Amino acid sequence: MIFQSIDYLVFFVAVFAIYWRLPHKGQHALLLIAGYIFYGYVHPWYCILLGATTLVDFTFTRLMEDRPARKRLWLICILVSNFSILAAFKYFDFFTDNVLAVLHLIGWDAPRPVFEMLLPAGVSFYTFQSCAYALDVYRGQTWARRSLLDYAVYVSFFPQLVAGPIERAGHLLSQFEKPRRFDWSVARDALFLILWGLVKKRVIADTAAVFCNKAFSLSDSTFPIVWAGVLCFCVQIYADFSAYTDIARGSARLLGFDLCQNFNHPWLAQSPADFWRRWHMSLSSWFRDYVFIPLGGSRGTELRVARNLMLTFLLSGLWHGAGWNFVIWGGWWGALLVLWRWLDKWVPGLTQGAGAGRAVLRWGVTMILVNIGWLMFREQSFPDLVRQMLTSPFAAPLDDWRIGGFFAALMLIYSLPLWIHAALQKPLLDQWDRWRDTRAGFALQLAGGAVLSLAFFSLSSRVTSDFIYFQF
Amino acid sequence: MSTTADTITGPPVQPTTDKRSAARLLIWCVVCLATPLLLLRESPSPEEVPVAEAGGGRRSASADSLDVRAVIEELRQAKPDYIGIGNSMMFTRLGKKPDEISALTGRKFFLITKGGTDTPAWYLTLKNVVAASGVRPKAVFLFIRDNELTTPYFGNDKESPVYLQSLRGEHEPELDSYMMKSRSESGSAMTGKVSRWLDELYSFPGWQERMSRHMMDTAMDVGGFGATKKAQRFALSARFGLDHLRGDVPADMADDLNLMTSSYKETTESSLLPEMMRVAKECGTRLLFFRVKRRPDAKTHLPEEPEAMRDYADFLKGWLAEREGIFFDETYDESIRLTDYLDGDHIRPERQEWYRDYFWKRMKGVFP
Repeated sequence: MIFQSIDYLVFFVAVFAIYWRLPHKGQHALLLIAGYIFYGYVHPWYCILLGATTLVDFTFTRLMEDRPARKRLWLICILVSNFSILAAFKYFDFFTDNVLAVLHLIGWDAPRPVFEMLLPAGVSFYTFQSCAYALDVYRGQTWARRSLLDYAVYVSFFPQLVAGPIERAGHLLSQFEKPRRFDWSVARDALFLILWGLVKKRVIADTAAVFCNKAFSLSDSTFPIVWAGVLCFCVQIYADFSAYTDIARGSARLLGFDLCQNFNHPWLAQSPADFWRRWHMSLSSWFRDYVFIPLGGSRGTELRVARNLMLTFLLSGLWHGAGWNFVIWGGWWGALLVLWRWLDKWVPGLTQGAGAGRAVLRWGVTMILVNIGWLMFREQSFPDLVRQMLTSPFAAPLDDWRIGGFFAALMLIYSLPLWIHAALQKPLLDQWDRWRDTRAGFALQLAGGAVLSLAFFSLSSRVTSDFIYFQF
Repeated sequence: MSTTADTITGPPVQPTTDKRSAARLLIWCVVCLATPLLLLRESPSPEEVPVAEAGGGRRSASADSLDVRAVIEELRQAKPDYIGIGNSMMFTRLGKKPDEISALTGRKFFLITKGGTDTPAWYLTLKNVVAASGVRPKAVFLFIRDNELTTPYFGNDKESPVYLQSLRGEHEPELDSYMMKSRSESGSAMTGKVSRWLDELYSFPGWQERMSRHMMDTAMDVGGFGATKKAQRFALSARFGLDHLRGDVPADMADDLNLMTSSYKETTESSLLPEMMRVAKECGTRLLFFRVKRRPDAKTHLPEEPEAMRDYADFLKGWLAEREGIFFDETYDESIRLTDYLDGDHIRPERQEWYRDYFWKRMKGVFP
């Protein structure tokens, strides 16, 4: 089920109407049923995988506490089980294609094994969430839950099931264990957040997608069209993914839950590391806590830290998709972080200097690097990626510059609300707790709601698409 | 408590259940729901819709509309033997103008094509242009793909509302009933009703087109390096023409062939096809449907499609034959190769001549 559909609206209204009439455990039972309906709405068999992951992880994490002598074994069972599902559904084709390509090189053409299964939406998200829980139990950072119902709802909590944020047990699971009360003011905020998410998705992301697809559809694209297309993709992916997070957070708040933060204005980043502190924060922190730090983190020699960073980002790239372009994208980020770290250490004046001019320069450089990365992310055909990377600004005709300029200007206009949002962060939104129940705060929210509503109904793109991160 | 930099509102606070908060929530919801109804209720008048200087559609008053009167007049003067109604599948195969196909066959052809059009627009063109002109062609032919002619999911979200509007007569009960039914059937029974109700209340296509046009015009003013909008639109049309597209871009491909259902009879009867057959009969012509072949596999020369599609094609052929309609299916014709394709279902410009010949050979079998 997708958030921007009437089906979700009807589904959510029904769940919401029943939910607040039920006792605590009844609410959980309803959320569990709702989660499975939401997930299996188009392909009911997806629920089997979700159920299997839940049962296996719940059972083995309990065993970690009940039979601690074999704690490590139980953890391995969980990791093998979860990553086998990912390997089978997400990476099987990628793996076999590459093995067959290598065999072909040595002159042996083996038949391609057939495993035609759809990649279950969001499998990478709930698998990682479940793994995080198991790892936390293993490390003693949380305890193994005794209630299968609580745990099953935690894994299948529908607002964030398909595209995150990837929650930790300490944050979300503990909220299931406490009683919840409906709050009118919070509900108003939640609805505003959902409306804002819908505008980002239907007005900004879906429009950007149309122009991005156009730019990437050319067989003979030139420098200005390629990079205008990348700019469109930059707007599309941020608006799309953060819209999902906003709708997820708004829906969860209406049910009495607070989901973790996933974005912090990534377009304001001033270094590659800063970008990853602001972009898909729940995934970044997952890789930091469960991959980078166990590998040694920032301890040890510079070469060792560089190795840790590269490995972490290569894996992060692979998490995003089973394709070489994603691996290259991960490698690009790993290399940037290493390079920036070295510059920080050896030429600190270049990366840390104070003053507006330097900040703008750092921001500009970071945005260029981010967008080069988005080209690798968006273009899944390697020969086309190389072709686009090699386009020269001097070889483009004037008409192509005009088209590029038009696309870029359009994206600037459509992304204005995102910049305004960033500008309002410090003076208004960070202090919203103080404003919320004042007359001025209410008037502001009322005006904002009316504007967003008008924008949604008059500016939505005629075509819509799935959220980009569904495929991961 | 975490900061909420990625949200436009703050984090949840301590619960308050006072009546004032409840009233504020209610007021907020009412304002958000009522504002568009109040401000967007009146559609912008047609003359306010800017005319696209670049044109694009054949015989268009603007890029998005058809000048029905002018086309009827042309039809009356041309008195064609055959009339083609279609979208890019047709004009990439036969050409945008009928001159080549007329020269090849020695018959008078007339083509009314517009990219992105589907069954609703074709139905209106047949009824309000061809039938209304009073001409009596031997046949009216349409290019279709898969089961889109009769599927209830098709034709509601892609077509330009302005183009459809320009084709509409004062009363179009069959079309309206079909559009409503399609919307209902594209969701579950329950959500279909809600969707229909919401659509009646909150659909503002005129404003959407107008606003999107304004945005684009502004972007052209800002980013066009001083070129006129007319010049920029020409450049855009030419640059993103089919001959510049990548072969792996599945232009116009249907989103999900799994939508294929086995209830052919039901969906066919409730589609616009019976109405199209009735109109054709009334104006003394025959309808001829060419089911085009999607880009085939290089080895098998056949496109990938569900088994059910072949059953559907057989059914449709029989259904049409019973009503004096004609159905050609080129899907399984191995003479059409992968190399003939530009993308998903468009033929390369250099293969047009060959295709026209192929097309006429099939037509000649029925209309010698």
